[in-house]
Amino acid sequence: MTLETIRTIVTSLGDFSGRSEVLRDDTNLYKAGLTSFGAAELMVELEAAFGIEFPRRLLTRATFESITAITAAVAELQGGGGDQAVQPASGGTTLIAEAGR
Amino acid sequence: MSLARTLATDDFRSELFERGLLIPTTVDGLYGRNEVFEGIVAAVDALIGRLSAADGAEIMRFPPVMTRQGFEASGYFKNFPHLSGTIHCFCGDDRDHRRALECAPEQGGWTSAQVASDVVLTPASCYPVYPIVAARGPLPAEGWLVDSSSYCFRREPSLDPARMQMFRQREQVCFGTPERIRAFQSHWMQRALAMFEQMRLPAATDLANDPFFGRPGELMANGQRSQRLKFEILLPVSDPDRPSACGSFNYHVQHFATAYGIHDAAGEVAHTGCAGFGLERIALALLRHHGLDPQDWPAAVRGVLWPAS
Repeated sequence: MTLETIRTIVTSLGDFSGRSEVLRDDTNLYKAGLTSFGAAELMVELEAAFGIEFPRRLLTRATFESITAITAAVAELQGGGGDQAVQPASGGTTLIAEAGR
Repeated sequence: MSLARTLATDDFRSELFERGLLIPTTVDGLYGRNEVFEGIVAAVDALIGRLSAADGAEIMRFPPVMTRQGFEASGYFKNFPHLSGTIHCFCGDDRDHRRALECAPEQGGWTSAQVASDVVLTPASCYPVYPIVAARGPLPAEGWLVDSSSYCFRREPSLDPARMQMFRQREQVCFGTPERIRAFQSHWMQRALAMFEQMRLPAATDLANDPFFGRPGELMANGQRSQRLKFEILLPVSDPDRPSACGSFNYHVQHFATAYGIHDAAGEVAHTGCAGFGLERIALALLRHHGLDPQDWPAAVRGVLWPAS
């Protein structure tokens, strides 16, 4: 669930609008077009969706570098029980065009 | 080169007031300037002009106000709500006017009838440039260069005279490829360091970030630093331990070009950068380091600022 929600939030970002390439879970989002402004937007949306607050030490580019990295951070912040989400199944891909923009 | 003595921030301001160089208004960060101070600002402005004269930049000078539409497109309020200054005006009739005058202070007083106008205070002198360049269509193949200047507003009242609410910026704005912007950025940093050396001011460059608002802003500031997008030239002004940024050298990547729709000759979203100087801050640094009377400054410094005299 967590992973799907994260994929949806990421692919709905304005930075990825109108693009049709495939975002893998390990795709570097910055290389795929994520801007600093987009990363800030992403942070706010993730906090709202999961009821979490990213602490200062996680407010870095690396935290939001890929869907995998985001999933690990969210799992950590949700505390315990998130171990499975830390290592999402490899090979997961999300077509940006499907994000319903 | 070091400061002769340490002064408390407010002491430096008091000295400037006593000499009449800055004229207090009762609002921190809002000052009048006397003839001597204006003479220094004009000399610094002219010096930057001489340095860039051969660049072929298009000159643009602006009043301290820009379009609200252009301001909104820039995303400034999203990132810097705490620094923004908007212009609200009265748009009512006789009856609305009477009601506004009679409105109790606790209900907003006369300001209760003010509504947002189509203009806002300019936060940086490069901001009015982008919508103008965007409206002209695709850039020439070699890109474009603008030399802009205006009074700017930042809502950050302070006792530090180097942190004014209204001050002048002289900014070069570059449009083109990433390579051109990076070259422009490093060229202006070298130029600025040489300029401060000529003025015998102890300048140092440092990686910097903009004061983005809130926690998302912290993430953006970190991103800006890790991508090495913003550099500043710092000079000790009021507090020797906390030098003030007197020059700022920025690579915006495609932020402004995307926001305003600025495209290169091939139709791709362009890249932009700017190199700006805070004219009052440089004037204050000169006064702080060389003394409060420019007549007593070292001849070499006077020669750089007033070459004909």
